[in-house]
Amino acid sequence: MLDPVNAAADTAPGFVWRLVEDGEADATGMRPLGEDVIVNLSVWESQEALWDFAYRSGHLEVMRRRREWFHRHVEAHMVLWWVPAGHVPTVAEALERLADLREHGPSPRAFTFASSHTAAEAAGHAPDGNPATV
Amino acid sequence: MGPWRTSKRSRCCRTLYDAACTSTSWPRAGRSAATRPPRRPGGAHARRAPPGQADRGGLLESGSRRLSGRSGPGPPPAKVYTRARGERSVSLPARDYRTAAELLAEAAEHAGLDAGLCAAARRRGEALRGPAGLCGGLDEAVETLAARGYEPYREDGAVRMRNCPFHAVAESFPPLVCGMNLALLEGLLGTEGPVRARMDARPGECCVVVEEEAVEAAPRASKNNDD
Repeated sequence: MLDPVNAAADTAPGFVWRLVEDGEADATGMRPLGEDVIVNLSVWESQEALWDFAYRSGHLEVMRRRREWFHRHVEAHMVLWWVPAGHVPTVAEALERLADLREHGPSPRAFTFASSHTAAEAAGHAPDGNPATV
Repeated sequence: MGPWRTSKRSRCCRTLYDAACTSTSWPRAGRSAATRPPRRPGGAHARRAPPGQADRGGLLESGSRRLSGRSGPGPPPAKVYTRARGERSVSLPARDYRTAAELLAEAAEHAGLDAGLCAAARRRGEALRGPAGLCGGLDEAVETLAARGYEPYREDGAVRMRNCPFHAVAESFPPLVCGMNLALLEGLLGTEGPVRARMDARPGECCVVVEEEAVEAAPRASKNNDD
């Protein structure tokens, strides 16, 4: 199931980059938060492009069935932030942004779909960037 | 005729609104309208209307566009109407079901109640279907879905829907509410008959598509199998 979804992401409008483990097709083998947590990190040209892929493509059907495979996170588990064009974010960077969101709530540094901030608002943090999400 | 008489002008505005609704879907701001091919020449609907009347009240948005797609000399740009992106609702006395829906959806999301919500939606769909039985075919599906506000249309042998009746909460909790919507439609149309509701989301429209089940998998598909 993962391969078709990842292939769809790779050709989706606005897709820039996604995290992949060396020599693998995806990042499911990376477990920086413990054995029972996988990470998903990607860069998109705009928040709208990410939204349309996540919720207005075949990805939604997989999301609909998410309870079949995943336990529910109590804390925030998705974060968006802007990165400069050409910048490839790291997992450590993503975890910092997630910690920022959990500690301080949504801000131009770390936000969510429901409380988003523009690249201009984030200019003091990461000018001219693309949103990245984990 | 009831006690409410409609004027020729209001009927004209209603016709214009209906035309605008059937020629464009409900685009999220700048998101999908630009990338989807128009279903009619020009995408939006051009029509003579009383100036300033049709869009009064904020139901329609208007702009000028050359429908020929060419620049340079030629006829002046037409006034083009599209459905306004905002929502209007009337309730007397005042009610606020939207806030209630958002709060219930938020609680269901945080508690992980997807399965229970979908079961309730499926039961509701079956209750709405009533004793009429399974949906007999795509034409019947169009009628059923139109009656519930989905604004269905035929495309490539399937039924798609321009409108999501749960738009606001679906935007806030897509997997939860879109899953609920699918379960509701599965209950409404049935899962054992000649048509199937399936999730097939694309920008600006309802996330569900209704298709005919393959004949060999649904031997009862003879009632209304004309597409």
